[in-house]
Amino acid sequence: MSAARAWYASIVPPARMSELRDVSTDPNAARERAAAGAPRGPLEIAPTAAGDRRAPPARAARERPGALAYVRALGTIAATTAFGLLVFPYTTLADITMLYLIAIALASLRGRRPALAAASAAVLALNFCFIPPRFTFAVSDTNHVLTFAVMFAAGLVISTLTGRLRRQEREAVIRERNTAALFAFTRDIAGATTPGDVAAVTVRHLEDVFPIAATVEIPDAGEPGALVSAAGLMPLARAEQAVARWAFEHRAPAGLGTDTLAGARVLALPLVADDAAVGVIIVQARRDPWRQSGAALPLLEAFARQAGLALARVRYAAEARAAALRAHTEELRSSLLSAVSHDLRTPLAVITGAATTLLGADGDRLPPAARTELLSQIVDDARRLERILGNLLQLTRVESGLVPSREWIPVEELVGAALTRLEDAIGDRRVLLDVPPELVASVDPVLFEQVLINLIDNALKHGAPPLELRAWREGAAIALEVRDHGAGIPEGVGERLFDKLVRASTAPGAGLGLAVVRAIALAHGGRVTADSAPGGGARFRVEIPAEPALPGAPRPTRDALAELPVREAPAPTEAPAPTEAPAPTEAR
Amino acid sequence: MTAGSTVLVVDDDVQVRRFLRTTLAGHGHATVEAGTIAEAIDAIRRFQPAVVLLDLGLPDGDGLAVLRALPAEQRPPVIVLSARGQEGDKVVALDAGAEDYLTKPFGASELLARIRVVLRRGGGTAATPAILQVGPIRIDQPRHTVTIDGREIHLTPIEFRLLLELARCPGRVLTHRQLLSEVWGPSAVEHTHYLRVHMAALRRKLEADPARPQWLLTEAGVGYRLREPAA
Repeated sequence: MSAARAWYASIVPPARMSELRDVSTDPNAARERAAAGAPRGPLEIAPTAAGDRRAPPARAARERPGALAYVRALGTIAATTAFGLLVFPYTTLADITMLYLIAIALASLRGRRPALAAASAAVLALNFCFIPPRFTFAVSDTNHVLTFAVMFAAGLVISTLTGRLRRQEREAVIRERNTAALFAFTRDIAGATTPGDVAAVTVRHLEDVFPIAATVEIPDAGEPGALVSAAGLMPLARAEQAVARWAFEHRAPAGLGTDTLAGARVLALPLVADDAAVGVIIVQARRDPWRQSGAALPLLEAFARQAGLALARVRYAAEARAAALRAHTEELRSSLLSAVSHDLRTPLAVITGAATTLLGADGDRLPPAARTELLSQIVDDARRLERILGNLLQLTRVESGLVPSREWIPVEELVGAALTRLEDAIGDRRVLLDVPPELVASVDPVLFEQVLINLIDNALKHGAPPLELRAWREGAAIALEVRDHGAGIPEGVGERLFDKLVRASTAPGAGLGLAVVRAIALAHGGRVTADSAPGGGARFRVEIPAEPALPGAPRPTRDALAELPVREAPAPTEAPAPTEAPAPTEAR
Repeated sequence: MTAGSTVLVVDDDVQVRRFLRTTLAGHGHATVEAGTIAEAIDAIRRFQPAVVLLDLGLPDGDGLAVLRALPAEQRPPVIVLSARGQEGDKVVALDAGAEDYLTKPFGASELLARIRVVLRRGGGTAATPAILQVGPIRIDQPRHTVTIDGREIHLTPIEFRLLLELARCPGRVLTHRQLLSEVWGPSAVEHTHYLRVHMAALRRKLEADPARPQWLLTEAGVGYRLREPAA
């Protein structure tokens, strides 16, 4: 315990030692305070920490005034003596005594010892110079002994009173500083949004306010039961880890200055919220004396309390967010499931119906036109099923975090691939294209082909020809627009069309195609918009960054293209290979 | 030429096999069926089928194992059956030696067209004639000229090589890697962007509307294909 006391003595005034021990060795006290319920405001905490538990006056007056105080006290008496000798012929001894009392009072402002020194000097001077027989230390009248006693008493009383006043003043300053420190801490920690933030703010403030190195440890998310450093650079030895563990598990301070593992180099304070440990602060004195601080441990504990509450707040917020997200996902999943199962059943019903008709007893008697009609219905609805399933799969894949594998691709090639795949669906409907051949985008070719297919498919289903498809560079983005000449988008629907299961017309579809478009655009760091074009018809636009920062290869340059050597062309099989026709070279 | 060939169907789904058997039989093909990798390898050895239709997801492993189990010269051409969204698997299969792929679900006409293309290649070792004609495109190798409907177009050596590679087997897909390796050499197989730039240039010369290509088709995430002219 003596080592611990020495440590505290180094960071707190001796007057505080008794209080520090009270707090630190009583785990229940800390727990009670932490469990006291509602978090207290920062302004209430500091006085509790520093002010209410006032040290007894007897101990507090132990000050050490400098030599100057004695010189001043004795100087005052000397001056009084000189003045007294000067005016003595015209006054009485009582007046001179009064003068000395005033001098003692003045000297007493400098502290108790200078006061006693001044009183002693005054008694001697009065006795020697004024009290008959004069210029001896003999005292003829016993009345004068009372005078001396009064002079000592006056000195003592006045110095004690001024001493107390001064101490109170100093405590007020400390209190104010502690309050300011706590206030700054609570203000900063209120802005923390993650456990790491809370820990970092705590360490920064602790190290600002105290001459200590601090580390905050929190439970490891990955490994149950383990503590992991969330902030602070102090390396911890195994023994110090054990102190932290103990403090965390027992929700009580441990280590240096406590009854538990007092031999440690560090002090560990648990961060407690709602009767549960949420972390632990480990502190170690960085340099020796820091006597101005005042109530170090209570303030440390106030910090720990605030940090604990902040950690709990952050955790609750994260849990609430996760719960909200889960609920939302769950809700979405069930509505998706019910909607999709309906959309899957409809084509299945058609297929089953048409196929059983063809297969039935009367199937042979159907006119050829009806048979063809039923067969094409089967094919159409099978394709519809495939589209819905494909979109559903794509949506799940992208929304569950599929990272697009980007490549630099001419937009023209993307458009061409999508149009080829939709050849049958487009038929002889007019498609107007405006895609600059030099426009290159960094996209996932498979995903982006799906974006185009869904947009075109959407326009074919819900709009009217001609279909317009254009792409261009717009500032830092590449814009891609699909427009039709149908009824346009109903008022007030707009961007909601990109939500799952939202449909603007009665045409068949599951309301997934545009949701896929948006999910893929978002995965590319882009965005989607929809509106009615000024001349009528719906207009869907996808914008993606023209030069995405990450990930993917850097944009190849034309110069780099020239560096790639071409292989020798193998000679044709029946190779007379006459005059090597000079292949026309073109500026590329 | 295409009718009468034996087709090995490797798929663990009975319904798919039933559909393929019926369809292929309707077009004059005999079918052999296998449900696992082991059965497939055994069937290839025993029946020497002209074409293999290979599903990639088999109960005893990845269908690619069938490709790897047999040396290229002992192996009939393979058409991989796979779902949309598995472009990566398709590329791996093609680069491992599969001739082509079909995305499930596919129509009978698509299936028959692929089989026809593969059978016409006769295993891929046939010599390339000096003059190739694909639809309106005519490639004269000795003279290094290309005409479209009799109109001569000027191609750079790279574009000529690209077109030639695709025209050797019209209708068959070639992966980016295969094309890069053929034209630029094996060290260039990662430079997909070069390929895209040159393909874009080639399209601009060959296609009436390069954004709506009729001949040089893109298989997103896989490669390119020169359309097989309608018979």
